[in-house]
Amino acid sequence: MSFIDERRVQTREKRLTTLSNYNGTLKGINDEVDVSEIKQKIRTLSQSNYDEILYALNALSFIDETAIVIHGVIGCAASILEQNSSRNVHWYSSNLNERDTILGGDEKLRKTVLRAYEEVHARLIFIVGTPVVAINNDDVNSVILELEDEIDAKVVYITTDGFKTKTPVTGYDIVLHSLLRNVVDRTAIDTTEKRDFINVVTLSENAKNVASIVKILKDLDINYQLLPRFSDVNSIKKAGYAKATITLNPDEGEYFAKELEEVFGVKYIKSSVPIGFRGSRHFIQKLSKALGIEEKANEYIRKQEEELDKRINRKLLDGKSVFLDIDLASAIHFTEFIEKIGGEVGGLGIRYIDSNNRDNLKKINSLNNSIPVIVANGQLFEKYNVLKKNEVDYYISFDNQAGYLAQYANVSISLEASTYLGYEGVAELVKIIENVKSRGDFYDYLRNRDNSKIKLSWLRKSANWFVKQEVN
Amino acid sequence: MQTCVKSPRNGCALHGVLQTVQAINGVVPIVHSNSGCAIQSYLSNKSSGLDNTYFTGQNVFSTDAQERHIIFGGASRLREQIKNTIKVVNGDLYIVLNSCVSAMVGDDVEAMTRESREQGETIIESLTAGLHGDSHYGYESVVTDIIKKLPLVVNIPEEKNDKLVNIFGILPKEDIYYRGNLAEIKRILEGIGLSVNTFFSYGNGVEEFKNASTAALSISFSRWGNAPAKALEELYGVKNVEFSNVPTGPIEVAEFVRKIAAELGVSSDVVDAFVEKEEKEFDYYYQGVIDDFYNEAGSKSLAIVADESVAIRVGGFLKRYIGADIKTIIVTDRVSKKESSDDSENDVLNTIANEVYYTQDGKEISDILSNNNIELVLGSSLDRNLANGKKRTGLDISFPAYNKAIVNKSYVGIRGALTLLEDYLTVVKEDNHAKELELLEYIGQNVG
Repeated sequence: MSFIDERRVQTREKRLTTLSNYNGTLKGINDEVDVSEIKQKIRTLSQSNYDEILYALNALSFIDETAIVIHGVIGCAASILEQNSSRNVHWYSSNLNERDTILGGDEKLRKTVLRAYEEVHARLIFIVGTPVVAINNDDVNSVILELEDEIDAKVVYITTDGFKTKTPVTGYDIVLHSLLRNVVDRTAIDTTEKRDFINVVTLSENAKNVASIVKILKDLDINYQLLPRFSDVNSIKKAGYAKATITLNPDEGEYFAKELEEVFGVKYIKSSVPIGFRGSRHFIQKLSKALGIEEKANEYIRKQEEELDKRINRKLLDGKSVFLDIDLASAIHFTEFIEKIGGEVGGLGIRYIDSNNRDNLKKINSLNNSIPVIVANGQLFEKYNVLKKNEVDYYISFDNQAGYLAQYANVSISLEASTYLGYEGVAELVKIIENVKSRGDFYDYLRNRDNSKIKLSWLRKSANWFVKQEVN
Repeated sequence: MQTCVKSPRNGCALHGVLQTVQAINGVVPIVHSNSGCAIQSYLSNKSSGLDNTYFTGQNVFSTDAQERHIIFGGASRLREQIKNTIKVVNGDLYIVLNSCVSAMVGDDVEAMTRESREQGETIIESLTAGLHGDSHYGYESVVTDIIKKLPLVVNIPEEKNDKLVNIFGILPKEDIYYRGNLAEIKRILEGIGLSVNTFFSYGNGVEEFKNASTAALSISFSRWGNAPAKALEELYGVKNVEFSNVPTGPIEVAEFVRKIAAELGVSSDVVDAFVEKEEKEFDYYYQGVIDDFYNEAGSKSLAIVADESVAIRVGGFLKRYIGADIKTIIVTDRVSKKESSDDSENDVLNTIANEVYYTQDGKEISDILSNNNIELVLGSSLDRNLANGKKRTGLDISFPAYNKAIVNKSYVGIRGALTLLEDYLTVVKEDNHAKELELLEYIGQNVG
């Protein structure tokens, strides 16, 4: 069923009964989600984590020819300083203050959008919602209607609010939904003849990972456009004319790919995250089958794997245990990769699980059923507890949490700024783990630093102490 | 009416509050907000290598308020969060921080904190929410709150220490080199026999806030330090001396220590000996680069974009010790504070630069810089980025400073001034070298 005519996208919790609070074992989480409707849990102690506004801003900041108006208090625009450090983002804050929370911020919003239009000449202006605006119930749509008569730019409301979902990936859904509804050229719906390129949906991947996938696409002479990050307004507009869509992470981009298929007739190539040997192979095979270039692709895969095989020591991890802090879609092939290089997975931290991705758990059923599993965005204090009780040799984070967990594992690694997708990713991962051996003193120093801020009494308690069943 | 801002560099008041308490050893912040507030602050600081405290980013305890807490109120969720945070983390002081969401909903943050306090926990609250101002106001507000509310949870010593001074007005993270700058000021004041509460540098923490009332003097180095210093004056009679900036260079340091020494009755022999030693140290290194002023540095027209006190100290130093031609100063921190436009800081700024502007708006700053034929920009990374992807030549002296790792560098006092001198001359030399290469290419042989 298409959602394109809905004004607002539903939160992941409402749409997919997404669970982002769990602390137990792999068997436990399997049982928990193997039901018709996943029961929600809450934390009675929590730490700050990314909300859907931050995810939306991360996606929007990487679209060229646009301006972003963050309609809220000035601090709600602060995170863009991070994105702006690597590219030139045009962002404005409507800079609401206490008075505006009483009298409304509509006029300020109007002025901000007009200013963005006049200064940047953006073809597309995003208005990003924030908590103050949502609580105040500012009528953003009326402002947009009024402005569309005045300016020659599309103004799109990103209906984020910061408090309706515990699953920040909803922010990607909101952005993708808004692009589908407002930017993707609808004349493509009636076109049966598609053009010779594919959409590659990328959201959370860093530039290095995207470059690794781009290399594969270029090596195979596949015409592609990246969406929505690393793209521009024209690329988004013509998404409906593509012959197919593939996502680098189906948990993040599938909403867009499915809608493009259902509404615009653009084939969705469902694939794994291209991680490790099997993930990369699966990604290329699915892609090549859809594009009719299997022979060329198989030869490419053979050569890449042969080359990498020569460099890989299958006992690199030598039986070492690894706690992976990762997203579930990436876990499928990353856990395989860890086993391929001689390691064993000793625990998992995953961000969320829902009715859409729970089948992925079955794909990691080769893992020991009793290993600890935390479902959480962040919540480092629970990870301290779990790792204290379940000693592991390696803690590997796909985010930037390795520094915090350094005292709880012999070796802590962050992949936030590394390449881990595609074949270049395999090579880099191997290099990172090879380097561990020569950095023993470094990891020892990190591990032995003062760690007295967390109470020992907490580390002795059950790790799920603060996770409770939600009562409605 | 407060207007919209392009490329805002300052966070909200909550961000100012949070980054201030994050910089105090032993303090555990508990944020009553939706989940992303503290991460917004973290990401902006991370862009400048300033996310360098323990309770930062995803390690900040937060109620992560959801829709139900907005509809039905979040006070009971806060109560639960306070109780559980104390069970998990050791802290010398827990501080509950307010947010826009909580302020708009009207959660009784004070009552929830008081409840725990009544059970003997060392916990206080700061009710400043994001919508109350910008990050500078957050510093002023929370430091004042700590001073006023600390007696509720700890015994404040009564005995005065006539050699102890408090330092205010050097803002954590807003002053990107705050740690190094505080350490240098501490070194200087210790040099004339004083003890120093910097509150936010190595070896300082809650204990120093506790002892602040026993000090003989508070020194405020920017307008943002005045409110906490005045709170101490009102509550405990600690005299406050205000400076428009942190002394940078031997003459300024000498004037500063003499003034402080006079206030506290430090012997002039001690002061003279210290000043002489510092002047000699500065001059020894200054001599080593003196040719560069004539050959390289003096002729550059430059702009400074920074908070007021940073602009005064950096501009004043470069003008006096390098003979810099400072065309423009853009002050970025006075937007939210209603100050008269003819106060003494304005006079000081006007003696340093030809033109002085007040704005934090990225577009306005860019236009000012483009219209004034500026060769070097001393400011934030935002001020050096050009629309075409190129960078203006310059030096990072204010927030945000991209691609930097900041540990304990200083640009104030004597040793910090020498570092500033070194960095400035390096930038000038690199710029001149690049221009020389362009010239050589231009005048190259042309034989067809």
